[in-house]
Amino acid sequence: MSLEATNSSLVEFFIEHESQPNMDPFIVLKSKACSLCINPFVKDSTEGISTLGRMTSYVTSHLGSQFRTHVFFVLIVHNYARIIRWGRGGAVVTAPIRFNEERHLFDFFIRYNYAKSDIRGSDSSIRAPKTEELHAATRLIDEFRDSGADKGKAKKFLVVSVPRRGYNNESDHYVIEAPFATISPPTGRATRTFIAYDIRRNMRVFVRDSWRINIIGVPKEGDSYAKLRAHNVPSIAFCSNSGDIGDDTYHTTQTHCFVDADWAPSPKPAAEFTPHRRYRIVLDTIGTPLERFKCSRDMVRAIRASLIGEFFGSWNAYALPLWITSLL
Amino acid sequence: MERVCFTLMDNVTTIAHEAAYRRCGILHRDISPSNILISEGNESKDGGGLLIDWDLCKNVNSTEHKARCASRTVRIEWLLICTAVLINWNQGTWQFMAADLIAD
Repeated sequence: MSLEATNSSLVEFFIEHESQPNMDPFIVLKSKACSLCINPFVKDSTEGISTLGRMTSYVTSHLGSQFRTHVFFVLIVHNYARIIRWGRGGAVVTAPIRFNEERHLFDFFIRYNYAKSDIRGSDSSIRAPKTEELHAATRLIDEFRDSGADKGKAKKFLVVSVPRRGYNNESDHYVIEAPFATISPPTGRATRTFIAYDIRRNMRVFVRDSWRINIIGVPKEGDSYAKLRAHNVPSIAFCSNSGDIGDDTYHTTQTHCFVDADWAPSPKPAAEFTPHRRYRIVLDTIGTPLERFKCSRDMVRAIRASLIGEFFGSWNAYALPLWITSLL
Repeated sequence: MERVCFTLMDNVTTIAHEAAYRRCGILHRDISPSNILISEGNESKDGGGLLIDWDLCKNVNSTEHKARCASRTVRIEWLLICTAVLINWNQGTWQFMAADLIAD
């Protein structure tokens, strides 16, 4: 199956088949681990790393083109299989399942078939737009596009929800263009940004969907914006809404919970698995990416406004580019 | 004299990153070109630019060491993704990280 011919946005889960046992990227537990490997769970072989890279590219495409909390992946190697649960916090891999002797793989398929969409990894905070929402969104988002190639081009739209700040059990809804796969890694914050249509306020906004770091000491971005706003920090976008999405069961990463499990490989992975939580933030201020500057003055002014203190305040916007150029 | 200079700087500081640190005790910690936008709004108000992506910021008074170690941007080269979840990366938008952090 060619990846080019595969529409990842329609895929439920991938099954990868490797005919040779040496293509398994993971060691079989209880075998002697490679003492030189950083992590003895991963084979230090070209074939194994090649398979792992291929699997990762499929998952990257899968998670990137859909709104998923996690996806399942079945790897078949010779006469056994592994089931892998990929999330934004890492991957959990089963021991080999000899599918000619054990029924776990068939049980998985049967259970998956009857599982709720949340368990499968579908994001319950997404829905299709109504006709009137679609018309308004198409007009407003199209107006913003400055590229002639994209203007007027038919796109798939989705509606995402964000809990309304200060209201219990109420959400605001935003129409966005459906995401597309990028080369961003499958793990981590997985930030995706959208020019969106705010249905309640009938205006264009900027929506950022990500998996925030869920540990003490890293504040929620919406709280940081509120604090910056309260202290009149300039050059900060106006944040109109933000919040955790969904429930803690499915919209929180799970991999870190299993590091100390009895069945987990020993010694433990050297990595520190970071917990993440699904999060969205809505900004009313829409900026232009820095690389799309129309003249060097715009670019330098934007950098200055974002970073540099009033040390440069007495420099005018024409002198500063000359000063920076002299440094380069 | 030093106090006068710092007071003067504090009074006239109008720009995002320094103002966030001085007025709120917040460090952004993920400065890169993709996190700076050109503003099309009121130039006199925002200086023509916006500093976004504050989700890795940290209060400078925070005593949580873990936040520094485990929360920086994971920006991993494409061919190395496969091992990203399994080995210990020195995390950060490495092209823009301080040399000390890379060496750490």
